[in-house]
Amino acid sequence: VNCKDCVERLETFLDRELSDAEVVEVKRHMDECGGCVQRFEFYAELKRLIFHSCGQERAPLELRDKVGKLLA
Amino acid sequence: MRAWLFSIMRNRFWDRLKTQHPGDVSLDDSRDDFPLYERVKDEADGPETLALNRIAATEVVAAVEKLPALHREIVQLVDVEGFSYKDTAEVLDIPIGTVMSRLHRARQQLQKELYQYARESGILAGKGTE
Repeated sequence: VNCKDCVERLETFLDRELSDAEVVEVKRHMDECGGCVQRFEFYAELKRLIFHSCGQERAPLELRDKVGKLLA
Repeated sequence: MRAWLFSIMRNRFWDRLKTQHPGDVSLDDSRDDFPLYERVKDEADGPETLALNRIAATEVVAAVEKLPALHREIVQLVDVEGFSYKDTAEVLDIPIGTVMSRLHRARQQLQKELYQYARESGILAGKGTE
């Protein structure tokens, strides 16, 4: 895995959609590549920003659980 | 169950949207990647993540709302609701590959919007090219 491979897998890595083996490969590369670590941290922060900004409009967890149970 | 419920809600939403706002169902199919990280790295006065943290939540919401409906819903499902690609594919009734490509395009578009805001609000210095 090189930097190009890492960049290509960035989104699926942050979305937790990579296989365990692929995660190991990406992490192994990042152990040796500060540039990729910074890039990943940036996009991880962006993902958090979107979640926290837009997540405020979600129904409360308790209500979502209640609706889920009613429909189960 | 959760995916099924979203699927029903989503179908009802689209039935109404297609009738009331037919222009909002098309997508920009551009595959040009927007290099947000490189832009921020070049233009931010300090750490790149700090520049992100200076963007107000209301501006992020506004940027998401500017997306075409098909892009908005996929960002909402994956990035906000935390759905897996598999569950998102089930809700939207599309292949997982389409989930991934559509999500990528949606994020590219969202990043362009956020970059534009960061430039206009002075968070980024604007040393890069348009």
